[in-house]
Amino acid sequence: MSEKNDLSHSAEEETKPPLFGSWNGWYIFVLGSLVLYIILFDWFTRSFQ
Amino acid sequence: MHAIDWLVLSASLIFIVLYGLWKGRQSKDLDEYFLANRSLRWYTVLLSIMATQASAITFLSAPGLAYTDGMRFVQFYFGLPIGMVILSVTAIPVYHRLKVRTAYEYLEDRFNLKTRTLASILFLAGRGLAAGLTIYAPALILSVILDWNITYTNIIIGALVIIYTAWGGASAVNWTHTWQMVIIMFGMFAAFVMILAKLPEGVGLVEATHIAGKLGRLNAIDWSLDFSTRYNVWSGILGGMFLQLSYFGTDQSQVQRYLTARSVSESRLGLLMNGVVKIPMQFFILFIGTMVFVFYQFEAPPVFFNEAETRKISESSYGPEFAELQHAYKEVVQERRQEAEAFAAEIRTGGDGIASGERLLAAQERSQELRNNAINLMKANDDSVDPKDVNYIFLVFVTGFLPVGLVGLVIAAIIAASMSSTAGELNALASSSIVDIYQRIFRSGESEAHYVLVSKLATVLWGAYAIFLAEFASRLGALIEAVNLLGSLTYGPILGIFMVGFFSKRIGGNATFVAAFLAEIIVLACWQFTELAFLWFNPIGCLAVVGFAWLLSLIPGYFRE
Repeated sequence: MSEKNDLSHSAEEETKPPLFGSWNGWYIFVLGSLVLYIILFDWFTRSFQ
Repeated sequence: MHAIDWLVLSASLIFIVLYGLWKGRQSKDLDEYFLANRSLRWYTVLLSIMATQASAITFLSAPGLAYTDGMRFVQFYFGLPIGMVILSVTAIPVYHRLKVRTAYEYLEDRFNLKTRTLASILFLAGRGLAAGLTIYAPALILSVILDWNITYTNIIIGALVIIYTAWGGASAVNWTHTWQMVIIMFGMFAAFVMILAKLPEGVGLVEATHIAGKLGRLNAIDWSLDFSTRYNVWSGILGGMFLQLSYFGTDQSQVQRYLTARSVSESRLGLLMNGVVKIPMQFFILFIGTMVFVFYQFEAPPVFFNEAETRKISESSYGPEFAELQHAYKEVVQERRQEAEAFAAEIRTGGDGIASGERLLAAQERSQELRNNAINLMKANDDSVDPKDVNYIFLVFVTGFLPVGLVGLVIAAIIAASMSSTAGELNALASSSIVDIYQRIFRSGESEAHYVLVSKLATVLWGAYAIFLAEFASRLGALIEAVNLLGSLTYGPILGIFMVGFFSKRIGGNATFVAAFLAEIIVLACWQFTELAFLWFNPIGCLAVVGFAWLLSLIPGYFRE
């Protein structure tokens, strides 16, 4: 069973992702975009009241 | 509809079907039929994921929601990027490593057959019904506004989807999704440009945005921590995250889309990019609704956008009273137009617009009051009337004010959206019923050609079932609502089962199975006895499964197996 839900990265997953050096870069990019959207929408909401 | 609109609409739909037939021409085994031979690139996966999630109602309802309630609905998607990251770390590598064809196959591998079968049956029951509604909802709106026959509309939309989905399987579905998204986004963008072009002289994007803001339609962010409010930042991030985790991580109609990717990396990129682009796309669609709202500040809108209902009350004993309300509404709308023009002129010349803005707001409130009175009158006349006209607003605008050709394109976009969701659903329903039930329980060891053939047959049968449900949806009424609600109430516990599988190596199948039942009772109790908004049921259901499964696993014996 240990193999079945093993979340460690296999050799295939270690393939270098595009643009960023690792998948962590992508995760930060995605979560960063969420923060940016919230900040922009908050500004948008406040600016046009 | 003009002949050119019919031409644009027919050409778009015929192109989609022919393209699907061509792309799905080779399906020799189940991997090819259900997973496109695991060969697709991330951008095809991305568009396919988006097209499956975005049904016709998304494009009809979201602008209408923005028109009536502003842009707060965008917060519903705030949990999506977080969910995409979590699934990229957890579900995707596991699904790829085990080379599963359905999400539920993993559950047998990790727990036992009964857990897999339970999850599969819950999916088939809920998604089967949803497929009917995916066809019915836009068909109803199109039939009311364009005076189409609803039975023929249901049958045509359903039949077009069945043709290429049954023939070509996942290849046809995913590749047609690409073009469907192109048609949808092109149609929506063209509509947006035309709305701006239709605004009166001197009212541009800046003035229109100020008007929308002044009238409370740009409320994209609500920081209040209110558990009974449907959409705020917190329910969007936390409740939305669990909902998106459940939908993208455990619902076969989405899992199947990214299992068609050629590698873990391509699946990941598809999901992660979905997390990046979905929120601005939804913001844009809602913004279109606010611009339709601004447009109607300068053009008299109907007091209620569902013409079938207004016709009904006009012909009733309440007719004269309703006519009086309509007359009063027109006068207030005329007054509102003058205030909107004055406000826009002040903004244009650099003024603060405070006084004129307040007058505009007051006129809007008066018109809203009259609209509410009209709705109350409709309810007094007929208790069963649907008091919401949100889904009709955008299409009434499109058919009334957009130029010839563009009307056909936007309607093609809406039907394409209905087809794209239905295709994803039929493909997933067939895969789960054949792989999880037929092949696993009833007929193992048959040839690949046999399974492909019965999969095609299953797609046709699920499609026929969806059309049948769509045809009788209006008569099923409360039953549909009940089963739909049941679907949303089971999402959290199903996610909990998968989360236990992904994150615990120790907890066994029996503990998880019983924990899922206990969690479901808690979710049902929350629904019955609390005022919690529905998004919160997802984290509660999921966390309850994890908690109960852990507690039960401490008991020696049966629960350790």
